[in-house]
Amino acid sequence: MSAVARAPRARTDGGSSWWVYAAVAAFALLVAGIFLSAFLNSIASSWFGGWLPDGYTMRWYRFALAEFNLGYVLWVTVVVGVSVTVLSLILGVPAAYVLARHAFPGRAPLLLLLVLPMLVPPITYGIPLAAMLYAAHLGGSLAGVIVVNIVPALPFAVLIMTPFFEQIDPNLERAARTLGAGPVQVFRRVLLPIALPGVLAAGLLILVRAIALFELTFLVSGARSQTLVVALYYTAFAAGNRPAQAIDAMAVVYMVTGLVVLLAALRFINPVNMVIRVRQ
Amino acid sequence: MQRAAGARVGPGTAPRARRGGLRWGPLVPIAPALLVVLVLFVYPFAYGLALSLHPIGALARGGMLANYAAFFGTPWERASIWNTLRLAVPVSALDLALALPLAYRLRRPLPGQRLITALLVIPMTLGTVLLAEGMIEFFGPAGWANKALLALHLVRMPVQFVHNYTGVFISLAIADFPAVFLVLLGYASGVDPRLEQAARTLGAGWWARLRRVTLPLLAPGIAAAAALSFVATFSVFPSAVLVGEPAGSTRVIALAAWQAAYEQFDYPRASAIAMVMAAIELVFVALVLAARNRAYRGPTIGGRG
Amino acid sequence: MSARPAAEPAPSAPAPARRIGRLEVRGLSKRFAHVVALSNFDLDVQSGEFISLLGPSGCGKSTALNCLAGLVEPDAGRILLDGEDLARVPPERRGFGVVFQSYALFPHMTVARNVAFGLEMMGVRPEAVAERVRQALALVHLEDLGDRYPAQLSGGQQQRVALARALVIEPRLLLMDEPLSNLDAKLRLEMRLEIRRLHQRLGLTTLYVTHDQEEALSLSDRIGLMKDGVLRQVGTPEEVYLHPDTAFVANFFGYRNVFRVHADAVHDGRATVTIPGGLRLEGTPRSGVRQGADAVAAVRPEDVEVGGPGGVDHGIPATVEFAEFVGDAFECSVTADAGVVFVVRTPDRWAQGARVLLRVDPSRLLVFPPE
Repeated sequence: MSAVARAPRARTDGGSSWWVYAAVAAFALLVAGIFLSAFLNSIASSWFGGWLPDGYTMRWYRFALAEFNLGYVLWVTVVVGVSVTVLSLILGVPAAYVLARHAFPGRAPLLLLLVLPMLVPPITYGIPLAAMLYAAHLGGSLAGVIVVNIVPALPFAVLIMTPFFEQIDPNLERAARTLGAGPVQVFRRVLLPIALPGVLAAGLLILVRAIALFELTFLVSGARSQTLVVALYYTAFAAGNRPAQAIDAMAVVYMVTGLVVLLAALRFINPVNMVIRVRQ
Repeated sequence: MQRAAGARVGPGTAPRARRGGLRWGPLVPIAPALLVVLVLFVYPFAYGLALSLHPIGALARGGMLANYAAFFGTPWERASIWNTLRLAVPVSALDLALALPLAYRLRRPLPGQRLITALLVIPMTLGTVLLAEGMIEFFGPAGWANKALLALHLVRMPVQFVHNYTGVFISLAIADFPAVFLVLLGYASGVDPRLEQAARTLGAGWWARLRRVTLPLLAPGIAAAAALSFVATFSVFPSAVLVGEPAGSTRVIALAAWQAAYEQFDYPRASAIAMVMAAIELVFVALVLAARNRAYRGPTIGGRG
Repeated sequence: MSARPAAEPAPSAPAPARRIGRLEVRGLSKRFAHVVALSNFDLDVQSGEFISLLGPSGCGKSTALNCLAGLVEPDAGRILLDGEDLARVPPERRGFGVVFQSYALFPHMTVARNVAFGLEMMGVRPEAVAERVRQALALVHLEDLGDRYPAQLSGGQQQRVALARALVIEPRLLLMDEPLSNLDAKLRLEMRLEIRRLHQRLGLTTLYVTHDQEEALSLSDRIGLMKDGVLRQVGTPEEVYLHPDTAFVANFFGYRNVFRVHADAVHDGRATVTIPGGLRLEGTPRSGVRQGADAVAAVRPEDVEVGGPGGVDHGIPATVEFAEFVGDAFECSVTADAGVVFVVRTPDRWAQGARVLLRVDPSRLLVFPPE
């Protein structure tokens, strides 16, 4: 019975998993170090040479609020993020449903067309798009910023919502139709309530991306339509004449905004489902 | 899956509409999305292509391809391609190499699974700009990274991590990792664990299982992650400016396009550079897909066995 | 009843060691978190024997198979194959053939590559691999489908590929985990005959896990009945079918009339029991039944005789509630006047409400100790 006495190993696991924890810890430590550096600097009265700041203050947040117009920038960010999310969902939900349920000639090229904006660098269509918007007198406006952000958000919405609709049993629709529901009623009374959790989760993810999206906003925004990330870039780019701590204060506000939305998303959605898998 | 071809046909619809509904019905809900893509993506893209073929200013008399000729003919401009590739390719490769074992292991539950996944995904919210900002502090001459290295006597002088190639590399690697990880996790979760068990019972050791079963089954996921990662790292420029050396080694192609458009106000030339970017991207994606097809022959089905 | 090993041609001939395949399992146990999946599992399997593990889902039969395959590590116990303890040997070095419930065919390899996989892992020369793959595919009648991919095959064909892949490595032990459960009824019957034929031809020591008693009865040399991680009874199909040791086993093999009873008298291989409600029956006690204690009595529908009031002169007066035509007979639900409901099988069509007399053959009414 000597073999019995040996501690059981999890053979099916193919060895131990300590390296997972080690790798994750190293990655988290690096990210936390970067974030904490910025955070501590943003509340430091001054920080010379030591491991920690010499003293703490909220001065830089007040400075950023006043000097960088942080309140307004946050407002713009929320308006842009929410508008882009809502519009992408309104446009994306019916499209995702059709792609999940219908086989029709040209479905594959159509899907490719809808996905393509995600595979092409935003700069490539962003520069001509910005030129178009300026020609249409939308350049620099809030509406212009919302419009350009829809371009990458919509394919993302379609791609992550298509699987949600595929999971719904088609017989539910058939049952509803035999009970006298028309197509619109089927969609509104049967499909949408079932797909709602998926749609909401998708919305949160679109919001995360919309807040973080830089290039397109950067290309079309004007002084009154900068989102947080673009404003941050401009301040950081012109760093020479502004206190670094104030820039960090702004960065922390940005990070916290994004983090809140992401954590909300992670509560509602298994990260595996956040993945885009194109059905072939 | 069975498809209700006439899903849009109501019981009370007239026969004529019914026939029309059968053919065009499915396309009605998709039309608005399609229109948006056509107007805001396809048209600008075509517009940009056309614009790039109509040089202005000093190049106006150089013919249709003068913008392209100028870009490839100027060593300083041409170098931006190399500057971008030597960031995008190694960063994508590194992130794939790091994310693959993690995603593969995390497809099965592990204590603390949710926390681990959240920690790996959080940098998504950082974005390249905040990352760059934090990195200037963290990796600066007086930052924690250099303090730790000095305290451990690993270096004698502070290492220059930022405002050079290294800074942009680190920044892109961190920012790009979550998406690569998530894509691979999605594909890895779709691989039936029984397939590996079957390979074991047939005598395959870990290396044979990895090479003959696991990697081929993950090939579509690896290809998707590589393509997305390359697209993302190839086109990003804030970090190249903020933690890089934008006037030198990290003058990436996206920056070149932006400078042409917004510093010299030469939209045709900027569009030409953008088209070069798109072409390189598409070539890379095509190469990745070709490599994928070499690794994974047979009908394109999921790895669910 | 293990006659088959003796029928093997010339067992004394110097066969290669891996063809012997005598399996002894001792004290195999496995817990998952708070559930005991397998408890002190002992089993002896003779060389060339076909043995089934039968039981309801969650009874531990698949855990037992996975422990044997090496895919689950037992907490305790030994797995001896021809005297060599394999309990700690990784699955890739056991050389067992495993047929999975889901087939687990590699979707990225052709049928031929799937079958060749195990041989390539063993380092067989490529020319020999091709020949043996051809033979294995011929064995399962798939000669022409070597270039197809699994997704292009029907369920039954996939099953045959899975069999060929497990057989081609000439395993010392063949393990099959509910291999027919994903097939429709007609194919299941066909594949059952196929498995029977392959076993008779190759004589591989086989352990077969199923929840289908018909499969187990038709295929096996011996059947092991499992419940709650414990092996309850091992015997030939005839033994477990005709002489179940426990009410659980009896219930599994079609003893559909099961009653909680009181054992009034037990002696000379005869028991007199009373069903609550006052109905008295004569039966045959299995070991462990004590006089004056509670017991369980069980009888099959076909072992209850039904006669009209004029036919059998004495019996239990009862009323027919309903009758179902089941092809070769009728199955009736009959309520005795004492209130007990019997399911009976009879060649006659009885009208609803008909008055009948029931007679239970005392040798066919088995009395078990309570569970």
